[in-house]
Amino acid sequence: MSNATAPVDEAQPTLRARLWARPGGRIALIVVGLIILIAILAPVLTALEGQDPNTYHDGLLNSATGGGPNAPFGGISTAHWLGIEPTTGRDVFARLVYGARISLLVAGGATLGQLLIGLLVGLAAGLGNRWADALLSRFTDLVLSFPYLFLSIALLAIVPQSFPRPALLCIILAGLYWAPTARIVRAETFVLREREFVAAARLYGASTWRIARKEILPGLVAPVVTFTALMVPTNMVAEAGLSFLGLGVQPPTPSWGQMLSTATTWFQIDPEYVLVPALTLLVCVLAFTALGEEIRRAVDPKGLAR
Amino acid sequence: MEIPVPRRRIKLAALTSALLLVGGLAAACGGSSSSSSSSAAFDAATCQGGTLDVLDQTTENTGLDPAVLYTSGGGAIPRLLFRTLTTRDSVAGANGRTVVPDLATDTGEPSANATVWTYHLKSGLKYADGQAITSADIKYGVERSFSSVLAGGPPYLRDWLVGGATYQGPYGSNPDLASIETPNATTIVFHLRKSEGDFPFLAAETQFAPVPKASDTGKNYNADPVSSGPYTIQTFTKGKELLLTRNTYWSKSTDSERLACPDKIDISLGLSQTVIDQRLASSIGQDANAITTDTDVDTATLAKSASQPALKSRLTSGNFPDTTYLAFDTKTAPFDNQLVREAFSYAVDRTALINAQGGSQLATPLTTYTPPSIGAAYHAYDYFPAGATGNAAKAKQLLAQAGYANGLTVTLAYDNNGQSYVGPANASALQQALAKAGITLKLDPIDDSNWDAVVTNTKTEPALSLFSWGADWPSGAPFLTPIFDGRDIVQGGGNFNLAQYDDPAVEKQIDQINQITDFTKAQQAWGDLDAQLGKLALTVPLYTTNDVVLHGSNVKNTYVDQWRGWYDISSVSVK
Repeated sequence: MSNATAPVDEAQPTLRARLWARPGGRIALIVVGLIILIAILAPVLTALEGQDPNTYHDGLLNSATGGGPNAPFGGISTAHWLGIEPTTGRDVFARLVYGARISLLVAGGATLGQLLIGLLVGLAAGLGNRWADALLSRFTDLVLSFPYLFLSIALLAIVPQSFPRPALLCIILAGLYWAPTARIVRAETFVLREREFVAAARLYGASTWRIARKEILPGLVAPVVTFTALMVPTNMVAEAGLSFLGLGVQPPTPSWGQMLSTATTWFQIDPEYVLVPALTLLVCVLAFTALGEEIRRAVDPKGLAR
Repeated sequence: MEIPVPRRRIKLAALTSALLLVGGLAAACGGSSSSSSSSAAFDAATCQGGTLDVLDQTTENTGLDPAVLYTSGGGAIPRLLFRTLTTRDSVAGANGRTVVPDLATDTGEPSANATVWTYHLKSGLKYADGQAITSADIKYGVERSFSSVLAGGPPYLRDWLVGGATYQGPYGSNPDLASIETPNATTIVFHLRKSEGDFPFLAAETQFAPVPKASDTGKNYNADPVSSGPYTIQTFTKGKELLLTRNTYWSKSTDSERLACPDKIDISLGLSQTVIDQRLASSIGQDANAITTDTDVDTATLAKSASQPALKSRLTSGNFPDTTYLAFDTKTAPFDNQLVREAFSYAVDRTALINAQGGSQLATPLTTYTPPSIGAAYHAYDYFPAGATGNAAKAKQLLAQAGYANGLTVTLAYDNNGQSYVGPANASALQQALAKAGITLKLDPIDDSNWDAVVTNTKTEPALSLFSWGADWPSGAPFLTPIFDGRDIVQGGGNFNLAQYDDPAVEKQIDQINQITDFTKAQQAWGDLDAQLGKLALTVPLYTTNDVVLHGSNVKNTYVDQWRGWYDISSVSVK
């Protein structure tokens, strides 16, 4: 029904093909795919290396000079592909690949949560009456004006330590960062609901819920997918930031932010240890951001002119 | 009863790492110029002059009221302002743990069973305003510490003095504490309700500093206390800066423990560990005359010093007697079974724990409850030899004997503060070591702000926790009594007998040792008691920390006093 009015839908079946057709999109897809594969295959990869993320290697550390690795370059060897962690001797490669699971899990879960809340609030505001819109929009503005970091820190400190941390991180990130999605959804809904096909559906007596689902939602795919793809790296950085501050997952569970946090005291003596998680995070965030950007170009050809 | 505050690896996350970068650049620029200023050797006769800078993390937000301060041996900065009946000996090495007379002519004359202690004051003692110091002022100083508005000092006076349990301080309707007598202006007598051979050590704390009644301003006294020491406060901005100048009425002829070399002491408060370490390491400009009274070097500076002899020469190390240990509640299964406790003793990997603390320069493995730095009360023993990295086979065998052939799952409580001695790094290290012996350790992080309240409350005490204990003075008594005396099991909060160990025979032994007034003999007896209790595996001693500190390149006569493990700044010179 909406084929004639929404050019986006034509692109929909060929989104992957369109992405693949662009060199930037192809690289982003491959890197993101690799990262997800690494996270899934973490046990296999560490078994291949012959290490696990929690075994200490006291013998490889120089206790007299502060507990750094004995060997140069952070203790990189054939047994420890990316070296060992100072003061514990745990394998950096193993911690890195297991850390990817936490990063992806939290970033994915938080993004999904943000998407759901954002869609619900945005649609309700966009399709509801004047009062509902005013109320929900002011509420969105309110959430948007929260100091995210301070609020996350406060919430993470209040909730009992026994509550599973990855789930808590997802809930907090989703609960605090959904407002931008809601605003985009509301604005797009405002445009779409004035279209003829929506008026036609209304004349046929379709309920608001049906209009939202069948008429508006398909038109929202392009802007929402683009924005969501860009939220993934943002959430990833937020998780790393909170873990860096010691509010993320509890030890001995590995996470990138935690690795960066311990590395700060070591960057002058053992720069390898800070470079590995930092570069990994950089590559991941770049890949997800590039993917988001490529998706935007693929679904919104008009944007190319910009 | 002092738990050592976490002093190491203080990092305020992002902010600090930015400062670290800035500091690192500064260090790189100034590295060459710092080592050139070593001039003449130190001479106590000609050391006077100059301004000493002190860079500290403490904020001193609660001020400097001698009744409120909780120090060990009079502290560092308080000792420049307050003279006490006795004090610690200002020398480097093991003798720094000895108690010596300060305002008094000797360390105290005890009665036969050490329940009555008599002190005579030296002559010619004066405050910074020129008034004479009398024994009544010392009595008044002690009495003030009982007032509820001036709470904060150590708990011993209330416990030891006759009538101390009910006395409410000098401000109420019943201002006089009869168990302290002042028969004349230079004599003071303390009547205790039980034998306490360690009384001279307590008399070194700031509660025994004289306070002139006419100048007492109650709660406001902490901003401008009347000085009896070599310096007096010129300006004091809490949280920022404390500037000390000479007390012209102080005379070296009555004070053999303070050299008081610098003319001025400028104390910067509330700095971060990284800033202090970087400024001391680079030692540029006025920072060459700087020192710290509360900040250890960070791991990075320590590792850098391995390749930089000029930096290494400015590092000094010392000890505050402390023990970090694994605490069992021996009233709770499975820790009521001694075989299980022994299995834990065999299974621990002390090397991993030392590395988690920053390596062997910062911590030393310990198999005894009292650390060697306590002096004669240390008796070496290792009843359950775990070796450097743990004996998992022996631990498994003991567990099988105890009926846990298929292993054991228990929960370990730790402080979730990453900077704590009893924090996550140690918990992870224990977890991986015990796993080898078939013990699955579930980790229970307790929020830092609740930690003391949860662990020291008998109702909420975890069955297994990491804990740390430091002595108020270098003697076996404050080290063993609160931990193993069954009468010290406090219901509700503030209990440190985490084992909940209660043996009347041991209590009788403790009373007997407290009657010994010969210090060396008493320490031997404390050491024997520790060696006897060690056989029961009531705790698993893990390690004792070492303090490694840095000073500016122009500061002389720097040593770490072995009573507290920090610089003795009453002896340093910048001339």
